[in-house]
Amino acid sequence: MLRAVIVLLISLLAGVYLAGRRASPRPRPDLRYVNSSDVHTLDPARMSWTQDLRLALNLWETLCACDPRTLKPASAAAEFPPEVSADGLTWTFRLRDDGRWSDGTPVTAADFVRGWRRLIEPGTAADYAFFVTDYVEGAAEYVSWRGEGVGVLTALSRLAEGWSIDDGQALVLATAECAEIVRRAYAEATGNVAEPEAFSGSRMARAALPWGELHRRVFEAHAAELEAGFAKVGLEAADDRTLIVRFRKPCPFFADLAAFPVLAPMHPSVDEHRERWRGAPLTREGLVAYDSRWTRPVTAPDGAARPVTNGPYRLVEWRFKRSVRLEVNPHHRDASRIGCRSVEAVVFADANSALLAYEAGDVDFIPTVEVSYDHAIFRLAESGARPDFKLTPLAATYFFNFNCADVEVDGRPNPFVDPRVRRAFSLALDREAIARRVLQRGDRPAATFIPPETLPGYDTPEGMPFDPEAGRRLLGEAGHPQGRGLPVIDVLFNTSGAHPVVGQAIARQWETHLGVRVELRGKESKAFAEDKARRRFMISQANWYADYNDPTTFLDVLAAGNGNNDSGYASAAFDALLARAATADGPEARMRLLREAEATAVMRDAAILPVFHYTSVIAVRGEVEGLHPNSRLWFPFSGVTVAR
Amino acid sequence: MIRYVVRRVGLGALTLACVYAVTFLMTVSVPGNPLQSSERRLAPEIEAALRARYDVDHNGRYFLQLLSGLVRLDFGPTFQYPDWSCNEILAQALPVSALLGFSAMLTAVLIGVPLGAWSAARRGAAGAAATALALLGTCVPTFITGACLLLCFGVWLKIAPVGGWGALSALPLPTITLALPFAAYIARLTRVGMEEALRQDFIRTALARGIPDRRVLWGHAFPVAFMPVLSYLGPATAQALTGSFVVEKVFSVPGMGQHFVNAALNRDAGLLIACVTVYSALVIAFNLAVDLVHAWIDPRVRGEAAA
Repeated sequence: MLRAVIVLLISLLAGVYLAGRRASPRPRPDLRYVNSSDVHTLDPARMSWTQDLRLALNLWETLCACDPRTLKPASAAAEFPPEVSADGLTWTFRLRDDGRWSDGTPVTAADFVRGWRRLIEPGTAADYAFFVTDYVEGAAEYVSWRGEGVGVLTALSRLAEGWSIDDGQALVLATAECAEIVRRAYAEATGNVAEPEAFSGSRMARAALPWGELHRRVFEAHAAELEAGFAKVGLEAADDRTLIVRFRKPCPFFADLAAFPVLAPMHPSVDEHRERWRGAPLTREGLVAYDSRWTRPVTAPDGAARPVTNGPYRLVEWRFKRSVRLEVNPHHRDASRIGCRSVEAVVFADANSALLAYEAGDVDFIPTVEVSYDHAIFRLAESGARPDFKLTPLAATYFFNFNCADVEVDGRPNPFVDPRVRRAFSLALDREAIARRVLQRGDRPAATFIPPETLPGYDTPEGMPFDPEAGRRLLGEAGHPQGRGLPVIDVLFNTSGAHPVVGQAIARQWETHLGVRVELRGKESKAFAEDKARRRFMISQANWYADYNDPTTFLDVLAAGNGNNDSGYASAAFDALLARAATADGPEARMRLLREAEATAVMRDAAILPVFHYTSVIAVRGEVEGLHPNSRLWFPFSGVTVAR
Repeated sequence: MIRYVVRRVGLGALTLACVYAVTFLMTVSVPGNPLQSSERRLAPEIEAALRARYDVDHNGRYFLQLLSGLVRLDFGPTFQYPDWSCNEILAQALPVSALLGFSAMLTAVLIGVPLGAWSAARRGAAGAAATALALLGTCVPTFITGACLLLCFGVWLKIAPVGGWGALSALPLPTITLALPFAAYIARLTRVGMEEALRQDFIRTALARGIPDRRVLWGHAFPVAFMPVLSYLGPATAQALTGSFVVEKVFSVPGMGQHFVNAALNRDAGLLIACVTVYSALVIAFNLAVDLVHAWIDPRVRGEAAA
């Protein structure tokens, strides 16, 4: 019997193995690098993770490129520099005539408009939609018109399904504003002004009104206006090779933004994947949505390889949680000159295993070495014992947000509304000790928000010194000598990585220097994000990475009403400085104003408490040439050669 | 017998429904926003529209939507990896975990049973050594064994790849790592069962009749001693099949274990429910299979089952 069981098991094993085996193993790629987790999406418009953007950067070619050595903008799909009008508000990009998609067709200006439009559409829910909506004329208005349309259509389709307006779960209708919009839509569509009560009494609303019919009419009207609405956005494909962008305020760094992969062009074939409802290219809720599988490498029925991209590489394989493989795009202008013909990004969920694979020669490149013994890696890199470990200061800052709101969420008075209290806490922090003695991995102590010497042309202000005596004095002036009268200080942090260690070190310092009591509240990432979004904290941990090479990538975060302004800091003086900088005469005056703005927010008002600027260790094997470590971990592979 | 099987399958379906309901309740009651994938925040009307699109803004509807998907075996979209559906993710991960799990269980049985039987038969130093080995297997966590094996065979000897999946050479290291704790437990069960069996009267009778030691051990005592091991093999196989987070992480094996953990951390309800359901279904199926084998081997169980 035992023999029978063993034979059965072995044949089962063989069966499973044969079923799971890949048909034909591909040869080793020229360059194989480590992704710490799998790619979230390969749709450039929806990207926000570094590992996704790194692939997009090599798959798509944007208007400009970012030189990995200098981080300065350069020519890519368009000629460089673009033609800028005297007032700085109209930029004309002239596309190069040798731009080709991976199916051989030319890249046109309309492809860029298509890509950028997808980026700002509400259904895309893109993190980086603000690249267009903040600067391009009419874009914010278009998005808000679309957002309102989506809100109303969502509400109406729910009502048509029999939901009640009062349904507390129906978020869309939970607000009085939305009910008001629905009421207006109803009045517009039917010519009747319905009684407001009809929209508050749930049963009546359901019975009295023909919601399905109303939804259909609003949907058709909205769909009919779609193109006319978008025509007001300052994006114009004047001809196949000319893209005109009109701005609502000067954006002198737009060439930097135009190098970011979210602003990639889109091939017309992507529109085949659009969802449709009642003949219009929208969902029932009015969203522009795509069958998200369009990014998967397949051969279309007509024999063409999809997805169609215009960068130096094309996507040939994506095995979920395993690897993504790129090969040279044969139609790219530099195709014959690219030394690295194939690239594979392999997933190593465990950073220690990734480093072992690197040591064994299975992979050639680790963009960020993050192992549990990273202080040892740092020492190897710093001492030069391992020249392949490259110490790279990043344009990224680890900081804490002070809750600047008048009262706490639970209604108690918030001591940190007083800038003197915030400054006292910032002065009483020995950043040197945290970076050098606690973390010991090469991070630079941060006295400012913007990391010095990472953004070209910007000179960071003096910064917050370590002066516990001044801190105690300030705390006394604010009415809390020796911390008296202060509640227990609630510090919210994320329990992953090194955050708890930093939290403990900081709590200890404040207890010693200011005599306050600190309670650390560690939460798992998602719960942490929720508490942070609802501002349930006095002090909360945060970090920020530069998206482009301009100080505004950091400073905009602190502007009043910015979606990422977690501290709730709102200062008229700071906002005015940002506004003045936007219209400043010449780059030097602009940088001076931005410097003043940073000094206002970080030193005078202490809206945030910078702790350190990140430093990364990049591991590149000796055979690989042309991967230039830079402060934004920006790695185009087309300039890489591998000697093997 | 058929009635017994039908009843067990029915009970299994009921258990599955309970597991689904409890998982769902837990998923929607923990704080955290599944639609928020990065640091940046969505505009409120967009978030509302997306919630409506995925039906996550109404627990009752969401419950029914996921349940109907479950019945149709279509687990819907994932929030964290929008380019893939839950079904595609499972279709990629399950065969990987199944291969690893089966080979690990086979290895565990082939190591554990002889080790346990041997340590029961031989008291003294040899038995103690076998016990110590089994204890070691239970105590040393898999991330230590895994890392040690990687270092020895992957980096120093270079006879196995460091992580990755697809070639046969990638199989042995994770298999051994995953098998060791199971092997240790099986060894302990076998040893206890064997010691118990060897004290029985019929063994003494068999020995008295002059049957050789080896035949008494394997022919008479072993079938009795194997029963507890068999009971353990059901849930253990299900557990091994659905992957181990640690082993998968250390060896970069694209299996199911990591999806369990990540789906929970990301509040990815669809994927989490898909994982839990597959796991529960396997546990139920393997327990049933083990009970049937029991009945086949042991007439007394068969008698109870028929009653």
